[in-house]
Amino acid sequence: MNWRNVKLIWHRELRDQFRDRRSLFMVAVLPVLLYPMLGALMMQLAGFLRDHNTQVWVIGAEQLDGITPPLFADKQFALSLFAPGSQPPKFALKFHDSAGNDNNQLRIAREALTSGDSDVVVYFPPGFADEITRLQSPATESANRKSLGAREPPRPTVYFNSAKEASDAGQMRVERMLDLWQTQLIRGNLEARDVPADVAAPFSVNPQDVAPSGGRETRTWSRLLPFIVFIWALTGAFYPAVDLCAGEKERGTLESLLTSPALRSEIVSGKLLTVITFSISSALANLASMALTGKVVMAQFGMQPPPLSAFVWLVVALIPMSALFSALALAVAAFARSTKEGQYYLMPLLLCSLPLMVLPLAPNVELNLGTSLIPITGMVLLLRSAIEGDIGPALPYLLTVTIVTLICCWLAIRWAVAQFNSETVLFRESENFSPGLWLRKLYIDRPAVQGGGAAMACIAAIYFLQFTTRGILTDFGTVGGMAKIALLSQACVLIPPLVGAFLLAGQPGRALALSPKPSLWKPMGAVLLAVLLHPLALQVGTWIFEIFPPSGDFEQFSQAIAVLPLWLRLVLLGLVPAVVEELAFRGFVLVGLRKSTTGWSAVAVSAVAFGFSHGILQQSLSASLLGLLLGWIAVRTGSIWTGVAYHATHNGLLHLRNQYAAELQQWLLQNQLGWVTGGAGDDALPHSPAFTTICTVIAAGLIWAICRNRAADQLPKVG
Amino acid sequence: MIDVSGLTKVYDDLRLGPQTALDNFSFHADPGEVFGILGPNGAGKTTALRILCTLIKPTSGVARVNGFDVETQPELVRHQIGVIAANTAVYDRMTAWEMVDYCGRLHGIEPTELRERMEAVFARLRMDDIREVMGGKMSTGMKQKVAIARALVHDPQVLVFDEATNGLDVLVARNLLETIVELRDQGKCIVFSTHIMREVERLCTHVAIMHRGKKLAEGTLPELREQYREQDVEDIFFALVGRAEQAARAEEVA
Repeated sequence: MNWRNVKLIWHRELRDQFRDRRSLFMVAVLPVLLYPMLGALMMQLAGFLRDHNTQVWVIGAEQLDGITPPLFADKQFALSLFAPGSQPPKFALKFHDSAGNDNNQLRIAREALTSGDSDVVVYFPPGFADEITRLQSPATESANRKSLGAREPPRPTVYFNSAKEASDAGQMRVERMLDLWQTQLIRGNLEARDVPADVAAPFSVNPQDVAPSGGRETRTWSRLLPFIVFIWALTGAFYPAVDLCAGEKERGTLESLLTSPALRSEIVSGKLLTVITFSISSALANLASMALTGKVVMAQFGMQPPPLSAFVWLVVALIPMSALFSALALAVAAFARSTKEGQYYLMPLLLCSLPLMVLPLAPNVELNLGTSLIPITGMVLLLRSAIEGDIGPALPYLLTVTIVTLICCWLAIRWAVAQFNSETVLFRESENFSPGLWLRKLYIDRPAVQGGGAAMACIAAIYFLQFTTRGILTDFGTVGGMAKIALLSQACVLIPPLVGAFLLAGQPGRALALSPKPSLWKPMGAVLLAVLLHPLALQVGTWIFEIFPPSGDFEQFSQAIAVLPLWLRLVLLGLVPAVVEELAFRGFVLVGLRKSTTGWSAVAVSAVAFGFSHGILQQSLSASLLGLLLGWIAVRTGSIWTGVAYHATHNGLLHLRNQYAAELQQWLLQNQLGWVTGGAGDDALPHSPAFTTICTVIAAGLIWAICRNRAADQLPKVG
Repeated sequence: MIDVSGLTKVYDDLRLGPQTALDNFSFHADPGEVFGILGPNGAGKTTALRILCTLIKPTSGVARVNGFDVETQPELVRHQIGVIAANTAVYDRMTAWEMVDYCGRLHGIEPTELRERMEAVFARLRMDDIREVMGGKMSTGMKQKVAIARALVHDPQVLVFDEATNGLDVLVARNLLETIVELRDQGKCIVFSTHIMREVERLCTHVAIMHRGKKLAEGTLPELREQYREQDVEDIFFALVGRAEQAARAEEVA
């Protein structure tokens, strides 16, 4: 790559964008104007809410005569309701006499609320005062204790209109007044009976916030700032990307660049640097504008600004995130034929990115190994910890977050370069697309063996079926119910690859890696291999549980399968999944992926897809590791059969172990074989490190023997 | 200088199936020669030239420019050529000088040499008065001049003109044709596609007549006149295309 060309293209594109009013508006003007405008609006809104008197109509106030303490005094809520020295909220009260029956009151209230004459209407029913005063008399209590206990309390009605902000807020303010009044009435009633008021409130909570000064605000900023900055980084990347790709296509200038000696990778790099520059500038302009506005607005609300270190962390995190968003935006925009079409693609890109940015805002989502592996989410969580000044516990995940982010960046950049190398993308013309014709063409032109696209579609279809069928069967408590659930779950994994193999591949047998049949010793060797690797599998499971303790989902699943008798567990949860999952992930998916990518990346993708299909985090992690081994075996042996034998044995051993762990341990101890498990505990797990190591070393030799083979026997790499 | 052999390009169409835009097209052009590709819309002229310019890859066949293969050595091919096409535009937010300078730098020309070349090209094309004019403010003629300057700044041995006179007024078109004659006389190898017969008669040393991706005839103008016993190129063209069209329809009906 000639960096001189990259720099040249970058500088040209930058100059071009800086001469474009729309780009400048989006990157520089909008952020600078937006936050002061929002700040002014917030201040006005706060002022309005502070100064706005809630308009309250009181109907039937005459029904309150004689009640002490009073609710109203001097046509306002009585000052006695409020703590001395406090600032009472503002109400504009209008008093109306009762107007007949309840229906009539409702009509009046509805009219007043709809017309806006009133925010809230409070109606006191006839006899309200009698009911309250009856309770206040100690004599009444002794005479009618039993009847009082069973009586319905009087119910004043509060009418409001939740469709209107002022009415909704007003209702809460009025109910707060009534609550305060009720507390005073209770206190009075108790005093009248010589009962200490503490009876109604035996204790009161004394909240003590030990957070350092500004800690609460820092927590808020740590959630808010990464979200806002990343959203602007994405938006700031998208508009220049559309202009630099779709816009150039539309204006006819892209061809002259493509006929220059610059390599496609140089063109993409130059454009990418431009988009990254705009993405970062846009986010920084927002940050600066937000900081300046915040200084003024937050002072009004008594909030503390975010710490300076927050801005430093944001800028550090912004660079890789902007690179990721820019590469994604460039790749997506390259597909568009025009600026208008390009802008349509912003929404899907936002819809894919937003959940990953919003996920960390959910309660109890913390940075751990699992979340650090999620693109964008991991970075937002890491940033959150850094802004909160709690970077220590987050540091162990810095590496995983960085690796995941860099891998995503690399993939996105590769995608963008691939888009610029594809003439069907660069010179795409409008077409009369018809789903029916497309499917027909897919069938007619199907290759002997499916490609990577079909493999990815198969993975997506499996996940979709698993998601949509979840909850259809819920009978976890019976054998029949659990058996149906197990079969349905396997059907979700089996249907997509079968349909795909028969519709998208000319040779379904090869598409599912059913041939060639291996020599008999290999599946038998795989059974032995699964037995030898069983201690290691259990050890890995233990490590996973140490990092991610079993969740409620996992416990529920374990309890549910215990309903099944062992033989049925071995068939439905051991043998059937082994066949079905091998057909799907080592068959259709791996064969398809190998047509598009190199050996290990195809194995890795199929393994991760296999892991995710298990749904429960702990299972997903161990299944992904298992998927790597099974994928490698499938590639080296040329078909799924050796893997099926391994997979079925592996599953079966796990269920047998669950059933007979205690008996096994007892047997080992009786036969002087306690060293296998370390000799302690009732449970025969985990195995001793020595035993696990010996088994693993022997297993490694067996893997070598099984996988050592002529190239002709390996899983075909077609394409 | 240019060797094209058995060039074929097939596009996949969802409704119509595989569509052959260029079918086994071959030709050879030498320095000092203007090779004309004459054909109606949809004849495959632009497809052939896009392959020569390395914008798209052929489905089969070989094309070499100055000895470099368009498929395996596209960057080297692009160093050898200058392209002027009806559908390539100029940057709206750059001046004429900036655009030509940018193009020259992409070709790796040293700044001092580039400035000298640009001065010469601007003088030759009488573009000095539009040096600082932004692309968005240019007339069609000005844009065409910038496109030519951009294609000439690195002094390429091969020039590709793809329907370059489309949409130009008569004066600008005439100037363009004069420039092509000058370039031919300087020994450049020029490929010129058009559907206008007069341009072919005026410029081309060799002509290929194309229809629906296929070459119907090729030769110098005197050779074609002799072969088809017609003096007017337009009559030769209509006769060939008419026959090919009839044959194609008969094939479709069958």
